[in-house]
Amino acid sequence: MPIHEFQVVGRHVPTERDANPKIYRMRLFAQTSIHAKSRFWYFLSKIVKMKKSTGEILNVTEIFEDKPQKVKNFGVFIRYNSRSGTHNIYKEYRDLTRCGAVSQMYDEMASRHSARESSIHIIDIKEIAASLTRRANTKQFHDSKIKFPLTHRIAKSKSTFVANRPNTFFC
Amino acid sequence: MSQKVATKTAPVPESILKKRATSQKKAVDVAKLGRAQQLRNSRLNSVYFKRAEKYVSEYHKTEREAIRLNRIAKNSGTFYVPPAAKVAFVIRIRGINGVSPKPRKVLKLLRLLQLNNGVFVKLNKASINMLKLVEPYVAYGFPNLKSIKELIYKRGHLKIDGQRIPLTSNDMVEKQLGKFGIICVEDIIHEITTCGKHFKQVNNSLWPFKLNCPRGGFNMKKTPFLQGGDAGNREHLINNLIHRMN
Repeated sequence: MPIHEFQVVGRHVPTERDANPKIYRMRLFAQTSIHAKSRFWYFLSKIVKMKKSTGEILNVTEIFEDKPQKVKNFGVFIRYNSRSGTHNIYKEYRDLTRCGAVSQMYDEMASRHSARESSIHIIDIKEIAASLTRRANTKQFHDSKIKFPLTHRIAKSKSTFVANRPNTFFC
Repeated sequence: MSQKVATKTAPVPESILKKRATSQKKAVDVAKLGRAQQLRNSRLNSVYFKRAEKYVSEYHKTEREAIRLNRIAKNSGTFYVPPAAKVAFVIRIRGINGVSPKPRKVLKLLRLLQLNNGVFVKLNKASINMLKLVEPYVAYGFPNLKSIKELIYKRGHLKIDGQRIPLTSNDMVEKQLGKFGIICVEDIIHEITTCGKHFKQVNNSLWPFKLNCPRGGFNMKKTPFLQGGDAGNREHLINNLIHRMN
């Protein structure tokens, strides 16, 4: 299931002692808004003395990428539980959207580190300027004159049938 | 002599005459009753349509009101918290083997006796706790109007004299629930959707829904929904599941 980004706003239920409790907001990556609510309470219960039964969700909205047509460099800071301990990790990805970068991160963590989604906490994810990237894998794309072979091209043809078989192999 | 015979008619036994009179009277009565029934039906028909129209406009108004309040909240930088759902639809997704006594009893109380059976449940503190007890065995969530309509029109059955009778006419609804002012199927749907005063009686009159296995199959029946499975609360996404199982 694809990953979406949600903003969840919640607070403690108003009580006699505190009629206007503080409101908390969180940005989360989840498959559905239902998962987002659940993760909201999970993370909030670690920070504040609050849980699902003592709090209420005020709002859940999905956050969409500003410019999804533009390739960006994303730095992802995560904490994950490996088999032997807990580690902080920084990873870099090139992608169109934050959600895409997070998807790549989950895939890579599963393959390279055997870490499942449930053992990964995303600390932060931010877009980085090209000059600030650190990983060679990302740096290799930062060349304004970069070219790629496109080995399979299908040329458009106005007619349905042509006398000669078209050539689709280039290079 | 012949003239005398011609003018005289044969005598008829009195019992036949009596029967004839009774039959005639009965025919008249039946015709009268038929006309009365016809008149009653035509009047009821107009009542049905009026009620249905009223409900449609009510649903529409509710929907627009929620949208209006949402916009007001957005424009003024505050929050609109929609009211919590009052009704849940609960589907049993696990078979009858290997169920420990307490969940088994709760499933029985919810009338979920077979795989793929579904019932409506009014949500309150008590029933929510019941649902928590059987969470690994059911999928539940908050149905919308479309799901409720489709379930009742396609798979609705009434409990009549302890028997499961397909819901085929408004007459049987009136016979069963007329004393609560519910006389047609739209009334039932309205009562379930809005969780009205007589929800309990209406829901009890409805037999548990027997659904198909979902088209496309289950994901992982034994895993909670939040971990990629099917069991437990899936809030508004229950509508997708109902659609696939109906």
